[in-house]
Amino acid sequence: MTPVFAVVGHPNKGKSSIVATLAQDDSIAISSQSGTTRINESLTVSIGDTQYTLVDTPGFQRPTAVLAWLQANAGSAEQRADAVKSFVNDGHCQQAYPDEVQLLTPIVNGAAILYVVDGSRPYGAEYETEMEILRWTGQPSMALINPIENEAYVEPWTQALRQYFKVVKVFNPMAADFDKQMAVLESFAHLKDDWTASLQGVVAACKQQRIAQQQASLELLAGLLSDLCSYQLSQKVLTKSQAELLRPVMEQRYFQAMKDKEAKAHAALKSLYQYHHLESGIYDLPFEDNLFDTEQWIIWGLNRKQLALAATIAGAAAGALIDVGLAGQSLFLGALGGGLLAGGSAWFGAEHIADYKIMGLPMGGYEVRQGPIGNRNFPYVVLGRFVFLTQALLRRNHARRDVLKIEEGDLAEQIDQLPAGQKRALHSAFERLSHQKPVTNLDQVLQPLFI
Amino acid sequence: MTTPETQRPTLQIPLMLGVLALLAGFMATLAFLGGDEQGRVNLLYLLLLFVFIPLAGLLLSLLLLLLKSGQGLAGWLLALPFWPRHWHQSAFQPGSQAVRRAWLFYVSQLVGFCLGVGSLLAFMLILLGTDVSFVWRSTLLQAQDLAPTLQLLALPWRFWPEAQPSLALLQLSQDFRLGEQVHDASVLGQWWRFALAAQCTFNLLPRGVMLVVAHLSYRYKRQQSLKVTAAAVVVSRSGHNQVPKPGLLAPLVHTLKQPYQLVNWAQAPEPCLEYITLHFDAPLATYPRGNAPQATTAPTLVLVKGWEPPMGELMDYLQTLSRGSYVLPLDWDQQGVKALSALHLDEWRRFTGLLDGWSVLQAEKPA
Repeated sequence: MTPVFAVVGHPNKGKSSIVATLAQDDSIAISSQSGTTRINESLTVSIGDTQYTLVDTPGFQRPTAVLAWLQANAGSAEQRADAVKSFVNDGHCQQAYPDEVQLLTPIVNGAAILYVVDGSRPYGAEYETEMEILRWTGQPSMALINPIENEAYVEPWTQALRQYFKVVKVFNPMAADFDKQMAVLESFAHLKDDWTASLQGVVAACKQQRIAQQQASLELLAGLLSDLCSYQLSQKVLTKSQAELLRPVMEQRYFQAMKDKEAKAHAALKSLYQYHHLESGIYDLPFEDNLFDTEQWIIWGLNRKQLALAATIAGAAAGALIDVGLAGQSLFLGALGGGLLAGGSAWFGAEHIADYKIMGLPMGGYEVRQGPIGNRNFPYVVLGRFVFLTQALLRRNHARRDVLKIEEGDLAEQIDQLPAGQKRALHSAFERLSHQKPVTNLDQVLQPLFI
Repeated sequence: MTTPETQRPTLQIPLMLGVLALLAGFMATLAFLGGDEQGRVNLLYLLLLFVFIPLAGLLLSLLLLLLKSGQGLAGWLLALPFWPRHWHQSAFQPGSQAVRRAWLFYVSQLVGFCLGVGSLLAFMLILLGTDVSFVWRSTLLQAQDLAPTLQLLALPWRFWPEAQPSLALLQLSQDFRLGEQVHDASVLGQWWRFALAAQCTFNLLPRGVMLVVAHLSYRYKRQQSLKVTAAAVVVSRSGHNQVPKPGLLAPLVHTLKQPYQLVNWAQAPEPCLEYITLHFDAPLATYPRGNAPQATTAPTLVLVKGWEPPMGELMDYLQTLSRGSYVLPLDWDQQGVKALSALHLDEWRRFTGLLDGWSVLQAEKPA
């Protein structure tokens, strides 16, 4: 049996936002304009073998008249639920009170009630009419206080709602993190005994899916890093002068292809977290036109000093292997030399991006090659942008319709907070990547940054 | 959730590496079993090739598997620079790292198995096509020292007596290059059964088991990866609303025609009524929500909660009132009246715009 919840309330109190957040669907029409939801919109959320349905309904428009109709058609308490059914099926009522007929239809068909109010505004006695109508349906119900602007009136609302609803929860669909979303779903499970197992299954599946999303995003990033750091463009030509002429074209094609690869991975990441309509400003930054300007890489990657330090750590780790191999007889010159060499080349090579090479072919002619990018900071830049987007998506809710704005990354700070071993592993892996060497456990190395 | 195509590395790589390993095993064994000019093969070296090196390789594989970080033989082989670029991309680039690791482990086992098969084929070919004399030489060891180790190694094939090493056979096979050559050639050849059993038991059999396990593990991880795809949230929907196009806005005015009647639709508290008197003078009369004002020529001012969206029942009510009246949306809290947000004002102007001759009233100076 699929649990069904009708999300009802006054117009413009965030019903659609609650549905969008809980269903992880960013395509639901949400606006500050009242009356956006005119017809019931039913969303069945399936995760693995489990599912539940949320029905987004229009807001109450004429509750006073509707309650009067119901009172006129129900003599005593046992007739009230039937009166609501009669109301929904009555032709005249369908004409005169289309919004109430819409919102009450799923409820008379067995849906539980999620009544939504705004906790940032004062309680009003006029809401009692709506709550009374809902009480007449006899269906299990729960109230959600949505603090749209602030929580100033949550307490009086709670006091009032408790008189009509057994369960009252505060839930902000714009700000609720994953745990809060799960807590609300868990509280739904208590509304009806028949639905408990099913909803607990939904919660477990959601949590499982969150872990899978994290793993998949790591794999996406590992793939992107390997791909971008090893990407090379080559073209065969007959003469050296042709090769020289080709340089600007090759450069443009190369950088465009790199940008496209990154954009594709970012789109895949958004899609992974169920954002199919999200516009993000990450592509519209002024420096985006010049992704390969190393001056700008400080925002996303590491600055020159941090980069030299990272390379020193990686170089020292590699050199230390030699020391271990020689049982320390090298007096740790391996670690020292490796560190100095890598750190020095990182410092002096910070401006170096991608080589343009013209190679003579044994059978005559030439091959021109653009890339791969040898700059040590490049993998950090890719990482910084990807981590930023991931964190922004994790913080965001599907109810939000604003453009995802970019902020300055804090990758260096995040890396600094890692334990020494994880930091060393990351720097060593990136050192390998910048030398186009494969790193098979890249996802494991990156994982600490995603926790 | 997407499953990159590269989670399924090409069949070409294991096939080609397998063939190359088969050839390598075949050629190496062929070269080794050629022996010296008299066709003598050092039994101890043969044991190294058929038993100890494969066992060490197996242990290394298991260690890498436990560490979960190694890329194995296939990883190292594929990291070599001379393979086609697309091989490198298939083996190391996008996709699930867990699946890729399982795949590399599987290819490593395949390479090891094919090496063993190649070696076995060469061994069989040599046994078939030429006479091989198995001897052993050692400065330090005697037949008595070796016998227990070889008998221990031969325990797994106790059921095959002809392939068991004996002290007598060991003594007969000991060779001294400067000593007298008294070997019975047919006796020296008897070691082939032992060598074959050792090759099968310590190389092909465990490597075959590892290959099956690695393949199953790879398939399982791939299926798990696909399950993750299947576990994605799927939202099926019926009905779809769209954000409506904004309608006409009612005029926004700051004064109203005097005298006027006030309807307190909002059930607003006293400070709000004082605010109205302050900005727009006192009304002729004030009516509570739902009550109809007297039918006079004086316009009606309907006070509403500015933050609440306008509802149908208010519209029904306003339509009963005379034209040329006003809607006054106010916002307040415990401190008193406050400025109405532009968003709410627009909402009320859109709503009032549906009524002919109605205006939205706001004080000139915000609250």
